Amino acid sequence: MHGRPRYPRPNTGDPQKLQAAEQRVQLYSRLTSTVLKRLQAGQYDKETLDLAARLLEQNPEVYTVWNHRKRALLATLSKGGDTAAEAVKAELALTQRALEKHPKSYATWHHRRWLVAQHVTSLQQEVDLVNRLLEADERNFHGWGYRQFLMELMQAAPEDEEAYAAAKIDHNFSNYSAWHLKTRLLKKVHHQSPTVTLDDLISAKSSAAAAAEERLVPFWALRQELELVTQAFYTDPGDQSPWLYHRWLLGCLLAHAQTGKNKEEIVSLLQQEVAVCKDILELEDTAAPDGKAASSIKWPSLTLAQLHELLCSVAPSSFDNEQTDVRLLYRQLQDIDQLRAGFYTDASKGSAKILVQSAT
Amino acid sequence: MVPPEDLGPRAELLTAKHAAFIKKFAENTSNFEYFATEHFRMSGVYWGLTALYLVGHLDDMDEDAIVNWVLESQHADGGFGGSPRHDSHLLYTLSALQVMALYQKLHLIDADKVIAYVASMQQPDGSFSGDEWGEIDTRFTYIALLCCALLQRPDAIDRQKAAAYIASCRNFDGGFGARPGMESHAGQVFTCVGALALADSLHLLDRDLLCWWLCERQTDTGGLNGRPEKREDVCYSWWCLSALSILGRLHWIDQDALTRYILFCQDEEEGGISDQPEDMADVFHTFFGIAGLSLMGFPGLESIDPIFALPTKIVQQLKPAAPSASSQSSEAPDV
Ligand SMILES: [Zn+2]
Repeated sequence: MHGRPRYPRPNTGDPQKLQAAEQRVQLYSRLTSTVLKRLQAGQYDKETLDLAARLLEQNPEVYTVWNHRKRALLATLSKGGDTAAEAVKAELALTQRALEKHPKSYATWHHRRWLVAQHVTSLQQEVDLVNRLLEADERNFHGWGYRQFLMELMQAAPEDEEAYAAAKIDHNFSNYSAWHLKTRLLKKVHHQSPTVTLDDLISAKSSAAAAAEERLVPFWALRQELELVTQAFYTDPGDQSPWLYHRWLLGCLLAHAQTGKNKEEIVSLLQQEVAVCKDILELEDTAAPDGKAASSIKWPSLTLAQLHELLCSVAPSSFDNEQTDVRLLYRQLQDIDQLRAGFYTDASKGSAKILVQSAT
Repeated sequence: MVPPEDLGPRAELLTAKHAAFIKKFAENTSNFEYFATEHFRMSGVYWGLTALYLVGHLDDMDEDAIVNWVLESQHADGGFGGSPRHDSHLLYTLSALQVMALYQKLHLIDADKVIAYVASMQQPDGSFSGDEWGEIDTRFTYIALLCCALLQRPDAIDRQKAAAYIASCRNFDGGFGARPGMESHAGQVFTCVGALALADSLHLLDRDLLCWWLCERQTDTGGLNGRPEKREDVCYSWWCLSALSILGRLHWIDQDALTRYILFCQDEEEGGISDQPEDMADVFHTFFGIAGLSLMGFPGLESIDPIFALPTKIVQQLKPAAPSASSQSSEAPDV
């Protein structure tokens, strides 16, 4: 359904191709019927399971066939020992063959998770496999989800996971999946944040409980992250991944502000970020303006507007006059980024708060 | 690919061609795709029929044959398979109910059995498994809530816990993933926003932040992508738009540009809409393209409900159901 070119139209004219296509249909439908009929009759012999495997290699989303393979395996697993281990190994190999051709097959990923949850296989081997996959396709969210599942099983240290995310980002600043992982891990690495329980969420009257979770990553860590993300800005100021992460970091700073402590430090960090945005805008200004420049100006401009708003809310008395700058920035953004003019209009009226409100 | 100034024959929505395309796909049983999609045909039928309804061509299909086929796909456990030869799954249980709702034949279904099946999938943490094999995904929470709403049994499952589980999947960008800790994805966002709406729990999300992330999905082509730095694709026209529509922020994207992008993905010869311009059209993208246009009020189309993913007229006839988009209007005050 995705990425198949419209032209040339399939099977137009050429009778040989038409015949081949017809044959393919017949073979596939016959294979499907045989496999489903036998499996539904509880016929789990080797020949049937081999046919089932052939079907899945062609079309790994046929979930019913995976279901039957699980039922067949449960019988073998109950025998335990080497027999069980061998059977799981063979099944893992089948899912691997399917995933090589169809790395986004939900049914296959789920089958593999189910197999691993039987606890008769090496987890490290799984980690190696998924790491290889994420090298080939660094944004495959099935792969990231599977990796997370493995890390939970292995009770991996959040510090190690953070190092993995950092290496991915180091390799490519544009890896949003890795930035995302970082936001999850920073909280875990710095145990200071109160953990939000399910009961908290159930009883929550607003998103305050979730916001509480974002609280209090220590200053030294935030400073480190701001430095990293600044490097990414200078590499490509038009890349949205680091800017979205940056918004979250500012939210973490705001959470500090709400404790009423360390106000001076917060204000100085925010002013440092203002300087970064202004510097990037100046650099882009001197570069020749072309199509790409629009997104390079957009992100620092929007961030600048938000920083001004944040400063006004953290230290109202000293930054009140920045409101005019904010309105000017949003007006510019309406021109630079016309697709989202509606958002900037609301933002300039104060009815689209993506930073100040989100952390309160 | 940015659509050209002059869209040529694609400047109009080729409704008759799309209707013919859907009908042809359903009836062409010598096509490889026909067999290869058997395991999810229930959803295919739902996409096709809803698209036909929206363009005023529902009567093109054989209602009795379809209704009987849907009923045949229900199994002893109460759930529906993707077709009669396939196991029960929540995905196809919802599609089956949606098809029956389109035909106003929900009363033919043994609701108690369906409800028992759906409720049996809820886990102690509030999440839902897709079937007996334990795959957990926020999509299934939406599906369970919507099944209960369609059968007017909203309290058959623990809605509060279901909503709390969705909230636990909320990310730093305001979006939602498939499970706690997983990256935000516009498809999951649609299901999570729909789930929270059905569970009266929209206060658990950060409306402005999420909608900003969603409007950032629009690329220079006018089309929408599903995650940052990804290519645009017509199916996100529905997923991003329905969430924006539920949350009253459709005006944060450029609707003219998106309309042009969807129109440009039409196949003016064979009919149908594809994921990207000049790709092969399919029923899935034909539905999501038309549904997206419908949400934007495209002239001549029936309107679609962003929560139920069914025509508004059909949803209005379900009484007294859980909150639909028409009852919690887009003008609802911010929370
Ligand atoms: Zn698509």
